[in-house]
Amino acid sequence: MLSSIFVIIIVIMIMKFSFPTLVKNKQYKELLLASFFLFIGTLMCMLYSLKMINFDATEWLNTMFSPISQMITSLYKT
Amino acid sequence: MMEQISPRQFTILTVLFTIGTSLLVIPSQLATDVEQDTWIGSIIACLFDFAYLLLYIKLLNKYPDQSFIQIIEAILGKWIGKAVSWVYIIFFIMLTIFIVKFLGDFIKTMILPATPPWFIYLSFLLVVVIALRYGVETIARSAELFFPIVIVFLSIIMVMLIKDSDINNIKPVGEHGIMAITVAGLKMSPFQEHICLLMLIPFVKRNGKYRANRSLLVGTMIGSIFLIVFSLFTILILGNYNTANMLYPVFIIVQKISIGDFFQRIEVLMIAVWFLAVFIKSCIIYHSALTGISHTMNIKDCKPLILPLGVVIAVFSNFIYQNTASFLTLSSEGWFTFALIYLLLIPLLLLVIDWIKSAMTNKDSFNLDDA
Repeated sequence: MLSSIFVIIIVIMIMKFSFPTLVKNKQYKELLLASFFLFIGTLMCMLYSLKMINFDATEWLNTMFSPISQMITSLYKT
Repeated sequence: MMEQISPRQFTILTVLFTIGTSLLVIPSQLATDVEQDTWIGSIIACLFDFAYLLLYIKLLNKYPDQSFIQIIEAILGKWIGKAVSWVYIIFFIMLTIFIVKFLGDFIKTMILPATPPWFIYLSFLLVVVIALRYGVETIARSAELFFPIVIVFLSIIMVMLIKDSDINNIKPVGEHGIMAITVAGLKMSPFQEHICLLMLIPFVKRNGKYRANRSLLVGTMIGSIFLIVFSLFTILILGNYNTANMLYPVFIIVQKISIGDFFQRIEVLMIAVWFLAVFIKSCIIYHSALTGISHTMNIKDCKPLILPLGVVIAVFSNFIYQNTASFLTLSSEGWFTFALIYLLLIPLLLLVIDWIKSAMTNKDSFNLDDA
């Protein structure tokens, strides 16, 4: 919970200090991307704090790619 | 004016990038597969890395002074190029998350067990973000400053390790057969993601005929020597069983150093060296992701994106994987195929497509000449 409060403070600080400059300089593409990253960051942080996501990239990658790795490894064993 | 780094600085960045996380991961993973032949496996892993580098250099020779993302767009065209570029940008972001998580796990397990991991991730990322805001020139200069420290500390550690070594631990040499050792080496080769260094190529200052290619090769060679020597020492000191069953065997062998019962606990030196290398590695990969985004989206200044992307990395570092055991399972199984797509398959495809395109262009111009 403490981590999500920390992240939200950082997000507010970025929006307070960085966004007005971007608008002033008409850097709308940067503004859009920065907002997207902050949105993803905040959303995932909230979901993680509320224990609503159970995401494990290693499990996902292993399911996708370990059969090919095992096939290559088994080449020298046969 | 565009930031510039000297070829010498680029060599140093390559050395630190090569040492990076591999120093702690490779020996234990190799020992699981080929036991006492770990040191031969690490030589083969480094040889495979050189093979990948030669492939990248082929691309660089065709498209000098361009970053990898620019090369992709030049070969595949605007739209397919942009799609493939985004695949690489996500890969770079994911790599940064993995490195931050790995570093956090290491600190939590070995040094600060009571500190919450998110605090470690945020503190480390804060330093990386500050370094990136100062730019690639500053990162290169700091690497230049760190480099003598890294070399001196690693050399001191290596000399001190000789005393505890037992040559019988590497016998019988080559027991598993060359095929098994080669496959184990191949499986460990994607742990040095040198493709990220190609994103720094436009920043490397041209010095007469000097090209960044030489820096890449020399830097990788120096870094690889350290990796091979430390893999050899882990087996010589711990033996194959302990090396395979320990999370961070290189850290453990340094912890064992004791000279005359008064010169002890020098693992702090090792941690310092490793932190510096990981700091440089994460800065380069993070920078690669940012440069990739700015090239793909035609953004002139990517500085406003550093902190927002840092928030994403910090948040994802908390749950990208559950524990070190799942990371080790990934690194011994799925990572090899996954990383090889980015490090070998796509660059190889790019080279083939480029070769076909230039062959077709030559044929067309030949036909026009005939007419």
